[in-house]
Amino acid sequence: MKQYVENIKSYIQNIGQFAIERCGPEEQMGLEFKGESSSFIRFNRSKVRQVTHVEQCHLSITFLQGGRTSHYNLSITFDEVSDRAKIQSAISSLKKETKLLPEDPHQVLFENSSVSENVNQGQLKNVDELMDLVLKPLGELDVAGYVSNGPIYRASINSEGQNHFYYGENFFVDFSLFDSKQNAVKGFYGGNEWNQTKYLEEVNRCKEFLAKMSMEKKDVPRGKYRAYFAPAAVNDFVSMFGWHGISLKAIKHNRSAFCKIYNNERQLSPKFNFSENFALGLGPQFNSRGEVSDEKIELIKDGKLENVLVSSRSSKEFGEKTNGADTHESPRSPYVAAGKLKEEDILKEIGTGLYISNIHYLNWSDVLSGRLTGMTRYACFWVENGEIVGPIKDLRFDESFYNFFGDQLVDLTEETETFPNISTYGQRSVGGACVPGILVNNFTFTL
Amino acid sequence: MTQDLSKVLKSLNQKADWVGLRKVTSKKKTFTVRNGYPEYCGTLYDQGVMVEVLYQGQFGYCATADIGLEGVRLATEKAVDLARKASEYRLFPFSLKHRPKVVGEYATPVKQAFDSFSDADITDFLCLTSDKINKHNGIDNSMANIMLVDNSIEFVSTNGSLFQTQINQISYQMSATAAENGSSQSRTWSGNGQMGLEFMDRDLFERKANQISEQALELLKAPNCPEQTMDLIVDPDQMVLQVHESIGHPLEYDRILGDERNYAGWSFIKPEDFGKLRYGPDILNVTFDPTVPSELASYKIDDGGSLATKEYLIKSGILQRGLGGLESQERISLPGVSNFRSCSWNRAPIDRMANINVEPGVSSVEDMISSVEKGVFMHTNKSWSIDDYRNKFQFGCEYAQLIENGKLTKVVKNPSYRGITIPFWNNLKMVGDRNTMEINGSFYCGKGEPNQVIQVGHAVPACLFKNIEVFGGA
Repeated sequence: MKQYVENIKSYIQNIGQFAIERCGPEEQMGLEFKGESSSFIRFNRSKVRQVTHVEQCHLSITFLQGGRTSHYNLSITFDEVSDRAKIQSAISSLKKETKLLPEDPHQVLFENSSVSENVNQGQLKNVDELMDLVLKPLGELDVAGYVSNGPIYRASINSEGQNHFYYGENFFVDFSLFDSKQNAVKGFYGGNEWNQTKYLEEVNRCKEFLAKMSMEKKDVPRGKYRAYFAPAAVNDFVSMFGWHGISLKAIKHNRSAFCKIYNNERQLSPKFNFSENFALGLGPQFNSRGEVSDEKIELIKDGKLENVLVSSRSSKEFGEKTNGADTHESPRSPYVAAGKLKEEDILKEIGTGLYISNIHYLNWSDVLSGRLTGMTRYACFWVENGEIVGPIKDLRFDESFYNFFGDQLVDLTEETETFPNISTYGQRSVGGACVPGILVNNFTFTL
Repeated sequence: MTQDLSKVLKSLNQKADWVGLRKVTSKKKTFTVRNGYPEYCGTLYDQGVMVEVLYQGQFGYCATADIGLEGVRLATEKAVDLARKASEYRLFPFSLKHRPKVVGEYATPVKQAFDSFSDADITDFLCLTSDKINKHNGIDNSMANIMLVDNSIEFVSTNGSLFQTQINQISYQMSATAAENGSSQSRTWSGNGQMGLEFMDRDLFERKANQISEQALELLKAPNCPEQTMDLIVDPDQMVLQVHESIGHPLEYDRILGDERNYAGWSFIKPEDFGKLRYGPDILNVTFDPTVPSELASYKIDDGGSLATKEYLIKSGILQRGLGGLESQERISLPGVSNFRSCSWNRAPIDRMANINVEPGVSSVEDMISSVEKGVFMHTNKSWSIDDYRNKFQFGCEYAQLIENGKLTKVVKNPSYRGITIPFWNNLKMVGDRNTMEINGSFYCGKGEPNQVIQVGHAVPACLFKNIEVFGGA
């Protein structure tokens, strides 16, 4: 694979230089490359439903000319003649159209932030081997899910000399194991070097967990309960901080759940510490413009707001210093610090209440008050006196994070879990999160 | 254009039982203006080929942006290799009857071509709209956006299929946010469909800019929606989501068959429910209709080569038919529809919604309001959530008015409602007539592994539901 990386890198440099050379004296250009060579195996009932290989790379050109800005995004093929023709045509179109646009008062000029290279090679199996390794051990189990496997890369080059390259090789198996009563457990195994023992351990963990769901289902009436949310559920809560969330732009436009904490009207529990933490190593530290964030940005410290995410554009518009956030000002590598709750004490500490392993389909039900609605999903249990009584029927919740990360937060677990971003809309994502589980009081379930 | 693709197909020395080439060329332009200034002006030009092969009863797919002969040849070899290995673990033995020969073409009827306006013309149009919103005292933030999509799909196959689909889709949105003393309220107006630039009506956009600005300011002073069980009239711009989430998704065969269980979820519908389940009262009639010319997901042939026709999904309240293409129809042993669709050249087709419409009833909005003693009339979706079986939902809207003794009274903010799909639809009491219908949809319906986002249309009337649990903000 070493030669593959070198070929990708050198082609990007070559074609990038070709584009940059077309930049005139009063013009600037930024290039972002996003590519992958991915195999996807989608399976249902442990059999292959669809199998797909995708080779793709997209180039986004940001063109600045006389205070005006426009963008052009195109797929490139690694055929130099064809790609040069496409890029030439895109740049001609940008030069023709941009000068006619109104001026953009919040335009941010490109700078040379630095040059970097981050190559993470793995030991990936080929797709034929993966089908055997993943599916054979499942046998007659009822498992639905998919495998993603292959290299992924990002590059950022601009006309001021900035040049960043990121390359990673990784895989994941994201799956759900079902029993005959439609009970289910979520499983995940990912990394950059396949280890069959670890994969089988994860399958076995799911089988053992699913066995606990064979007890009679408990119908829990709506109400407020003490509840434990496993790290996967906390990851979903935290992902909402990227949408009407901890963004300066959203706050300044009065459309953020963080307006109240920004305006010192609310704060969270002193046990809650939240940061953007690129030390997790799950994705590039540079954003789509090639701007580089600090390795760690404290966002909430001891329950108080330290920073919000500020893109260079918001910095220009609102006069606050940028911290390398991307245009959408969403956390790219969110990290919630661990607490003191030990794994073996979780059921005892719940006492009587709910154990929630996963949640589903979150949305803001009242964004300014931080209220989120969503559903429980997969292995969720009713617990009495520290013992699992039985799985629950799915419940809808509607609760504010100012409560469950605030004065209703009892503790966070001692262990955190890492969740790579497995979104594959358009193409595979980079980044991910690392979070613990949480135990909370008085969590509101509404249906 | 399909001639070039046919030449490539003929040049392939392939070893599969069947090969199909789907070439997609997309050009998308996006314009966003905020507070009178351009925020984003961009073009996306994306082109590639999905090679699809059938080998020993298993389909294999390989997507490449290299549309030349060598690129497609390599992709075909890869697709064959994948299918060969996957056939050892195949879920179902597929055959050529799942890719019938089909010849035809479809093009969006367009009155005014996309290139009749320059980028600067469109940006100016949006700047004027945004300025109009910002002129209202108390409006803190305005946004106006237009997206134009020009999608060309060419398909050829070794069993003689040859079809071309040319789709022009548009989407527009504007928003006004009013803010005061740490509180804020937003109103939006949006639309989408298949058409040309004829939707850019300056007078209409100006009227709507004024309307949403005034309503955002009105909401800022309004009390929260009360928490109570009462009657609910749902405007078409919220009915779109209600139909999408609680009728469209649960009827998808790939969900019922379990393909989607690891991501979007399963369905409360079981194969034996078709022809029997009372989804709603007799006045509920729902169709799959890809033939409405201006609706977002209209087409003639799906990506599996199945001819698209209008079909009843729910007739007189009884569940009739689900949403599944030829592959799912055979797996589930039920008739379906032509909805095997992919979002682009880089994804394999799966069962999608296309246009799911509620057929008009006989009631006017005035009839509905006057029939309600205590209720609320909700407009424009702003929050949506439903469980993985599509039972328990909760929706939030932007704007509502209470109904008291048959009359609209005060405006309330943060209106929301929750319910469970089948009891909710069985509480349907009146369906709006043709005058209440709006054609709308969603540009961003997410589903599938790997993930796909696709456009779906919903033509829906206003509807009245009895005894619904409604509530407001904190």
